[in-house]
Amino acid sequence: MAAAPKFDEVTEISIEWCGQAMDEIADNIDVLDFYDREAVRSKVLQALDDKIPQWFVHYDHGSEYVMWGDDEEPIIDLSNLDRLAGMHVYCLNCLSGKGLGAHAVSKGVLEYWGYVDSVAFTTDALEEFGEAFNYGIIMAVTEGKWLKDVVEDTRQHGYDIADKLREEGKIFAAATLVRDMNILHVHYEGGPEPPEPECRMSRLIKNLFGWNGLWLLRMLRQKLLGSERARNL
Amino acid sequence: MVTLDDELDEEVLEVLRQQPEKNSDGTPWKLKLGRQYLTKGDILDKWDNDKDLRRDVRKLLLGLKLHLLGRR
Repeated sequence: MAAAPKFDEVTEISIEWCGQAMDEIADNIDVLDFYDREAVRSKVLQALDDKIPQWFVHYDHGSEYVMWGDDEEPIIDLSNLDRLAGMHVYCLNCLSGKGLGAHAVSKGVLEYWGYVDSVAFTTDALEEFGEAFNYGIIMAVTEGKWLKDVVEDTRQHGYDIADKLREEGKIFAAATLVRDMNILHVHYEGGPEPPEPECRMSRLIKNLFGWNGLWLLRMLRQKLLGSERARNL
Repeated sequence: MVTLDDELDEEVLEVLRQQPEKNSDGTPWKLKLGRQYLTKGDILDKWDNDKDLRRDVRKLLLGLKLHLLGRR
């Protein structure tokens, strides 16, 4: 299942990347896509009620604890992260690899591919960025592997593309792609522990009650204060 | 006195000045960085007063330099 909103200049680009990735894997699995206005919480959750997919893909604006939908409301956040239990999750969005990713495994997600900072790109190399961003899901699905098993190949492939861009004189594109590859992370059971929370209180709660204790606190905060609307990608 | 930061900024600015304003298809070159989606002109306009942007762009290019050292 793939969800990709389209409501600004950036999502107009990333929805294309998502479509290209889904086309590449469509011979290997059935793809159920929610593009543009379809990419909203109610429709995605309804589909998850009907059928539990192996893969969940989200391309676009994210923040630490949210995958944003086309209506600028969360599709997935801390309160419904457990709906992705049992799935391989692949995100091209800002920051969700840091927040949602850290809680994903304790919520039953098999593995969570995401970026632990803001994703960046330049418009002089959109094809190359698309290739790098899509590489992991295409490799994993077409070769029947887990994301954790293709992440280093993906990173190296991204670095190779960056080297080519640099040779072509596209310095900013190269630098941006290197940065993106550096902030790519896969969370999975038995994998490296997510980084300790920066906030001292969060760290204490995590150490006392584990990631699920911290998830409860963060979810309550999200319920009380709402999710941060200022999105990144 | 010229600091290391000043020198680095000058180097980054030089790379930025060399960046074509338009892509090969004639569309404006843009950099998506954090919450911003900036043309070359936007970056140059903001350069003197936007400390965060300066830091982020500087980090980008430093990251490439470190990457190249690691690839050798």
